[in-house]
Amino acid sequence: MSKKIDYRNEIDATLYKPIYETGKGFYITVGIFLLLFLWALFMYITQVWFGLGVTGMNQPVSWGFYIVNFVFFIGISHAGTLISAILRLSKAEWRRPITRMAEVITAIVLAIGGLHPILDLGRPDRVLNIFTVGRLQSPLLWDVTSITAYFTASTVYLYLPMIPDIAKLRDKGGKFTWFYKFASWGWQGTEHQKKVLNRAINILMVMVIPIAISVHTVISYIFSMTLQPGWHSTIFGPYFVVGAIFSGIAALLIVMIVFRKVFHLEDYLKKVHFQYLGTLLLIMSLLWFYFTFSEYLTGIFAAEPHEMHIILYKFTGPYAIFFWMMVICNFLIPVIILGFKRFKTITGVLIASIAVVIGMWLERLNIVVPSLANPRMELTVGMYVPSIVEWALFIGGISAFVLGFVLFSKFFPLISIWETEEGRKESVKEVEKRVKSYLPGGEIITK
Amino acid sequence: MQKNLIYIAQLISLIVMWIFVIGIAIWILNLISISVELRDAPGVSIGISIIAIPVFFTIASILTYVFVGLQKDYKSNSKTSLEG
Repeated sequence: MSKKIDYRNEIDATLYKPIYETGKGFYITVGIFLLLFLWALFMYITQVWFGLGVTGMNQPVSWGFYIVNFVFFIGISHAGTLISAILRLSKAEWRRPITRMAEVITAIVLAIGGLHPILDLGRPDRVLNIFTVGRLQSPLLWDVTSITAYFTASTVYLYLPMIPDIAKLRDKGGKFTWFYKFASWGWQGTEHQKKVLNRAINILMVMVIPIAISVHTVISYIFSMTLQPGWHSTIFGPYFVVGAIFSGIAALLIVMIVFRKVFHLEDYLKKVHFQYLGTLLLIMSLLWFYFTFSEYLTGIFAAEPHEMHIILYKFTGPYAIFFWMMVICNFLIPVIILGFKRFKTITGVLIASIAVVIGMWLERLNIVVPSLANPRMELTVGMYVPSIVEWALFIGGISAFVLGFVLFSKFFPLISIWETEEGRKESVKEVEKRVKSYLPGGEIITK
Repeated sequence: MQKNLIYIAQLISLIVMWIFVIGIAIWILNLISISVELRDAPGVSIGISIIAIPVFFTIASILTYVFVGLQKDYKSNSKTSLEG
């Protein structure tokens, strides 16, 4: 698009480069993931054509990969808006190169996760029933409402801080100037415009935190509002929120490390970012373990037969491998890597993050399937083996995420340019002012 | 000409946002009326709607506030530069 566009002399030329220069890697990545996505689409058409019989779901296990992936993807979405909002609200200066990526993850993953319950329907047209005869008193409808609210808020929260950067791309000209003109909403960077935008972002970041928390709490209600053993738990709300933030941070770290390498963002994403987020991941790992321990300890202590049946199914039965793998991935690996300075390198953080993402997916599997496989009624114990169609749609979901992220990076900078510039100009002064305001004897701080 | 077209497209996008938000409010109100008609826990439905509807309206209002705020300066600056 744009060999004519001069961006190389800019301080932040690295951030413009992926937009104005398209390498072979871009086409190869898009090609591979598009093929995978199309394969998943074909498999989905097969499912619609032949019905849910092509999946591994049956009685009594009537929820499988689709619901597992729904909970998993929505959990990952907490990477973004929630973490970004908390970092902005706490005025953490190191947030500047992170927030955009985090917000993009949320928007894309929410769209993917939100569609999963439709995949779970044998007749997707029946989703229209929620518009005509839905029951708002059902936790399933609370999910629809809260996910829609979170998606809307997250998209707006992603879009508003992008306006100044879109205006920069508009002013540079090129192939898509009309689009950047449309999306920049007449931004010229005047004091009044800055005031308006900052005010809107501030309101949104306060709003988005309770919405994000409500989303995963409500998702947990799908399970905990039933009387099903293994699901009927009062701590499921916070347990799900902790798990979501945990997996979200891990996904964010993976994306940061991959794009740092691919787009050469080493000057922006430094070791300190990975160390801070790594520490946050370690704290979440400990918190996750605490909740998991509490959840199972109360079940074992009460020793209610149906509950014990499911616990033993997970601890020593057919799901033992998945359960103990989950503990290793979510607790042992991150604690060993992130707890010792020696291992807390960028590679170490990447390994811990990959382990956590796998572990959190296994956790969702451990929640959904064992409770269904061991029904309260005297039925035979079920076994769930996902079919190729379910695997294809899982891979399709991941492909859609990669495609969405790569395409986003082709049109918009992955790191907020205006916030980086603002940081260079104002953050030292701002931090100094803040420290002076609360530190006893702060007035003696000199430049 | 292109400037006007872009402005119209921006306005349309904002109107679409409001249609979406109003649509959701109507949908929720419809579900409340169903629950009242069926005497099926209408209190819960009303409780959910009291939280959900204002959230959507606040988001749309924030977008409108930003759009109006940015356009105000953009238009006055364009006018000044034309006069200049």
